[in-house]
Parts: sequence; C-alpha cells; structure tokens
Amino acid sequence: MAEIAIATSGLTRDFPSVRAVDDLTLEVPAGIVFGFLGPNGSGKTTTVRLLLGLVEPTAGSGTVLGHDIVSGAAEIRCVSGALMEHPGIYERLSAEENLLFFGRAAGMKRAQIVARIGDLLEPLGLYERRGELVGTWSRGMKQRLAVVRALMHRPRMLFLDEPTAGLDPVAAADLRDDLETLVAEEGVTVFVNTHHLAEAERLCDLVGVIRRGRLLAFGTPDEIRGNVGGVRRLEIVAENVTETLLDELACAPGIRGADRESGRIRLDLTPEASVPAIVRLLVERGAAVEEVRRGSESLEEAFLALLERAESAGVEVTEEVSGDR
Amino acid sequence: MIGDIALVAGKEVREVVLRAGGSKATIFNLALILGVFGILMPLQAGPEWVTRPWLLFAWTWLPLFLVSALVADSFAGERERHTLETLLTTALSDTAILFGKIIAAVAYGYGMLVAVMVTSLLTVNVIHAASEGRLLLFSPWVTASVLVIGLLVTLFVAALGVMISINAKTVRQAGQTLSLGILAVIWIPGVLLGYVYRTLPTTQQVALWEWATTLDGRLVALWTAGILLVLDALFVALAARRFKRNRLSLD
Repeated sequence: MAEIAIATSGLTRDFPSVRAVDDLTLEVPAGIVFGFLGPNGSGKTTTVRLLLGLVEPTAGSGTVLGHDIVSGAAEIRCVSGALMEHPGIYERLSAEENLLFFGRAAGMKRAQIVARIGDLLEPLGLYERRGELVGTWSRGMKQRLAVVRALMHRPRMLFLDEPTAGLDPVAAADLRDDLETLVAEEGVTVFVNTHHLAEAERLCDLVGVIRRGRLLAFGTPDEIRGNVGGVRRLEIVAENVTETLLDELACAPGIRGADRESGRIRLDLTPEASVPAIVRLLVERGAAVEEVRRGSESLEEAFLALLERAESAGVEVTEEVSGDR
Repeated sequence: MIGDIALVAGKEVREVVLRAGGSKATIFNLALILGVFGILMPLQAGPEWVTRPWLLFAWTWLPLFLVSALVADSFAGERERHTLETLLTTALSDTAILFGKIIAAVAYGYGMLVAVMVTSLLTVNVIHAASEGRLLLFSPWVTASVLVIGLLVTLFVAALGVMISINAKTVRQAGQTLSLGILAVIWIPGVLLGYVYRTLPTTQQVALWEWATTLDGRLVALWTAGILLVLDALFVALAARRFKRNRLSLD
C-alpha cells in the first residue's frame, strides 16, 4: 500500500462570515503531484494553511507525513517547503541573502546552503544574479526564486499555492518547466493549488476539485474527465456512414449531437448514453465500424461541468453554510 | 534557539534598518541623529554636558523615537509586503520570530544611544578638555543610569510596538496605535500628576517641590529603572502571549 503523505478527515474551517473548508476528507499518496483545483475563494488557500498549521481547524483532523496538523504543525513545517499566494521574498535583500536566511531558518549550515544555491539557481539561469536586490527583479524571476527558496532544505513535502498566478504566459510556461524539472529531480510530494487547468493536466498525477470548501471530485485527471457525467464524447472510425445515418444518430437516445471531422464521427453524449447501443445501431444500419474511442475531453471541460453541476445543487450548500453563521 | 533569534534579528536589521530607504538614506539618517544628539546638543551645553544629569536623562528617551518606526514595521510591514505568511511557514519557532524582532529593535535603538553617548563625549572633550584642563566624563552613576534606563526604555518601546504590530493591518495603523500607547503609558500619568499638583494648596506645593529637589538622583534612577523593568516584563509577556502564528491575520 502506498505511503500516505496527506490525510484529512472531515476537515472544516469556519471564519466569521464564511465556511472556507467544509468537511474535507482526502488522502494524497506520497511521491506524487497532487493538484487542488477550484475557482477563486473555493477554500484552496485555507486548506494549505490548515495543512501547514497556520490556521487551526474548526472541526475534523488531518496529518501531513504522519504529523498531526495541530499538535505536530512545527514538525510539518520542518519537513515542508511552501510557496504561498505571494512569493514571500524579501525585496530589500539580495537573492543570496534571502536563500541564506531561509536555509538557516530550516537548520542548514552555511556551506550546505551555498552549495545548494549553486545547484538550484544555476539551472534556472539566476546564479550570476544572486547578489542583486530581489526588488529589482521581474515577477517571474521572483516566483522562480520563491520555488528555489521552498526547495532549499530538501523538503519531503512541497506546497504551492497558485504558483503561476499573475505571470505572463511566457513566464508561466517557463516556471511550469522549471517546476516539472525541479520536482522530478527532488522527488518530493507536491500539493499544488491552481485554477489553471492546463497546468494541472500537465503536472498532476492526482487532482481534487473543490468548490465553496467542499470536495466535488477526486482522482486522476483521466478519471475526473471520465467520471464527469460518464462518457461524454465518442469518436468512431467507420465506413458507409451516410448523412442520413448521421442525422439519425444525432436524434438517437443519449446523443446530444453528431458530426464528421477528419473522417471520424464525433458524438456528444448525455450521461445516460449507452455506447454498445450506439455501436449496435451503426452496425444495423450497415456501417462498418473499425474503431470506437472515448473522446479526449479536456480537464477544463470536466472541471467546468463539475462546477456547473455543483452550481445547480450548490444552493443547498450555500444555505447550509448560511445556517451555520 | 539563540541562533534562530539572532538569525531573525539580523534579517530584521539588514532589511528594515539598513536597506529601508536605500544605503544613502540610511547613512544620512544615522549621521543626522549622531549630528544632532552627539555633536550639536553637547556643543550648545558646553562642559556642563557631563555635569548636568537632566540633559543625559532627556536623551535617555532617544531610543523611544528611533525604535518606534522599526517596531511598527515588525509584523505589519511583513504583512503589507506579503512576506509574513512565508516567514510563518518556516521551521522557526514563534519565540524565535518574536524575540528576533524585539531584539533587532533593541539592538538598533540601544546601539544608537551608546553611539550618541560616546560621540557626545568626544565632542565636548575635543572642544573643552584643553581649556578645562581635564578629561570631561560622566560620573559612574550617571553612566550606569543612562545605560540601564536607556536599555529598559528601548526594550519597553520594542515590546509594546511589536505587540501592537502583531495584529495591525498596516504599518501606519501600527505606528499610530503605538504613539497613542506611548502617550497613554508615559505622558498621561505625567499630566495627571501635574493636575494633582496644581490642585494642592500653595504651602503643600512648596513642600512637595522642596522634597522633590532634595531627592537623591540615584534613588530616582533606581525607581525609574524598577518601574521600567516591571513594564518591560509585562509587555514582553503580553507580546509572547499575543503572538501565536495560528491565530494571526495573514491577509
């Protein structure tokens, strides 16, 4: 059984006017990149703060690398690195001074820190600029330095809260490349908050979708895509599919729409659609079916569908929260 | 623990004192303080600078003004610059962070006080030692009083200011509250004493004045130090109680 890096049970955090995290129960295995997806204000940041012991839960419990998030918060911070909403870099200090400070704060010796600075800054092209005041750097450079800062002491757990937020597309892509490389090299468990779906799709082995503090879905990106409403898109390679048959397919039960694209038939399905029934219909009408494949719906589409579905049920959630105030 | 406190204090001095407005501005500010309190005032006082203890007593309170800005920035500044949350995610203990910030303020304020004291002695001696035919020095008890009371005043402002800054949204808010706090703790009792004095009959006022003028300066210094020590202990304890990282406002 895989080692569990993060486990929460019924984790809840109330603020005077809102329930930020609501009965959150999840298990994140060690050694993976876990993406926590949700729109702004959904409770992602509060969850990270809870896991780092920066806020106390109103109810429920949790552990990070076996340490309780309340009684063992200090131990969690010793074995974790964090890049929160802001880079958190001291702009009046140089990059090197920042890394020396945070390295020493993590209990590293000066010689170790100096060696680590070289190892981490060199590949990012920042080593030669380590003596400059960080205040003179671009947002993208600060953010990359912040990632280095979080990894300085070789943490076993890395928390990243919207790491590419506020960056231009090029800087964001660069940072994602750096993150991918660094995370692979360091072998840490990563908990990344994001509402950038492409980022999650690229970086994450496992994702959780949160809205108004509630976990809506949990699984691999493929599972999330597949489970949102069952099969939502079907691609079929077949011969002898006439326009009449295509029209008939479009009106068949469980099919929202049908069209032909690059020689393939693409069907948009409702959650109730039966794939065997569709294939049977095609065969009965004389089509020669060569290949049937679930369509590659993006995580973004699945995410939006999840939120849309939660929105319709969400009124009850909102009322429940209101009742607790 | 001591290493962690020193680490935070060192960062604080480097970031907030030495680099706050650029190196030129820092040098100018430090030179201005030394110029006014270490050169100009002793020049005006002449040789009496070392024999009139009330002058010394007046600038024992110098750290109060120097430290105020620094301590108002301690937590509120980190909150404004969005570095507080990251600082709190480190392995540093609450004690190391809190005392590191208090000690940074004390080191700066007290260091400046000692520097001003030494500079003022150099100034009066360069100008007047030859004509007086002797080295002009403070008496041992005045030196001890200034050093001890100066340290206690610095610690008082540092602890009070850091305590206020812990939950202040902005540096400005922390600074304003600290000013009011200092006013409440120091000036209001003085004003009240003055009011009580004026309500006394003239004969009692005269008697009180005579009693005050015959007071032993060493006794006054001891009492002042004792009261400050109690206030310091109180505010350091309050700050330690108030600073719990899982109860701070991070936004």
